Amino acid sequence: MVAAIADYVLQVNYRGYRPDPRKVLSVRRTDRTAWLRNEGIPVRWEVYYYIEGELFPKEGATRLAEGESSVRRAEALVDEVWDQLWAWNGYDFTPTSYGLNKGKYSDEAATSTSDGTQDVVHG
Amino acid sequence: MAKSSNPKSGYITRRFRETGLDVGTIADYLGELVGTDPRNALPEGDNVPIWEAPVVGIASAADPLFDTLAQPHVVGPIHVKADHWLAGAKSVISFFAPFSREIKQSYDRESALPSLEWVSGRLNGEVFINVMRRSLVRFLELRGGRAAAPNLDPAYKALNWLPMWSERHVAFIAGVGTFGLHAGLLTEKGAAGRIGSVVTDLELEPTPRPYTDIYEYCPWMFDGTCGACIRRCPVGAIHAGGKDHRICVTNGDTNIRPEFKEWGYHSCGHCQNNLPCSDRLPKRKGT
Repeated sequence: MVAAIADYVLQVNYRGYRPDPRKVLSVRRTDRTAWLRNEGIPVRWEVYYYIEGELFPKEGATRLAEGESSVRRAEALVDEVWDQLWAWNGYDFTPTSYGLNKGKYSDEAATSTSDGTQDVVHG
Repeated sequence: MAKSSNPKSGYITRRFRETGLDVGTIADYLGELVGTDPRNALPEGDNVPIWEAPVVGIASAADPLFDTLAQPHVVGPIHVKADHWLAGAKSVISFFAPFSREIKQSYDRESALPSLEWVSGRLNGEVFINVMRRSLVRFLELRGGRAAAPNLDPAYKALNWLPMWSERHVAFIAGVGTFGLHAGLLTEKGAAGRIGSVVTDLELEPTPRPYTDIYEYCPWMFDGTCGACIRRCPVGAIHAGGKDHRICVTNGDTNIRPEFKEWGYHSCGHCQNNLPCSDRLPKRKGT
């Protein structure tokens, strides 16, 4: 994720600062690998988040300071949203709003836990 | 196919910056999000839109009805109040997003199985409901408030189908709709949809509840007429007294999931489709 954001920061700070509202951080369900792409119809088992406004709502958050490297900026930015993004991903990749769902993905069968509660809720 | 957002305006929360915080503005905001965000589309086939513009309501976090939700025969002791999710919460915004016409029309009236569009919309649509929840949080934060989406809190959980935060009950309190015999929410835009909510410390004007009874919009519960969802459920999960969630879930696991195994989907939607309450409030005798 740092690499993807660093690449974005590098791009939008080339010859002046021009944040790109079309760029999104896409995350693949299978291994939660993140990469950059332009907005568009999501593909199966992908979720994505707009970098400007959604991941980083503060205007100018992706602007490089004098002498700052894109990786350094990306590390700071990712640090701000890492926990939140982890939780978002957890919910977006599960079948309902039931929660982080103990790591289950939407095509896995519901199982009963030792306390007799259901892991997955349908409906 | 969902329209692409205007690249000049950026992520949708950047719009509406100077507008108000009344229910109409929030409904317009969510309506534009649904209408323009490219994520509101099925990843399969013709990429039809998943949701249409939602019904929105606002409740005061101090509404005494919230106190009742922890009672054993309402939701239960697991249910918490708005200030559990956000200290100092003053208002709760609830929205019901109806499934698109394309998805509802794909649902075969005669089949015991749902359509691919439905099962995909059910799961991929929930991802977009999360987009709406998060976007609403950003919308409120940009206006100087704090906000949280309870169902996206890592501490959120549900046990035996009883949630810490019931979107349906919250929607009822916020004036969005009443319950039906099938345990879904009946709204002015029907029952086929999903619900989300956000709590905020901004003081917003509550929406009047145009009903008093929790089943007021359901003809069966009102005068014993209709009952179409009883006949419609392919596994008999809905009966004269309500819905048996265990039968419903078993149907999802044993009948629906194997049929859509390759696709990775599993949700039935018979009790939300091809019924008098699917698209609108059902007619009752004398109305």
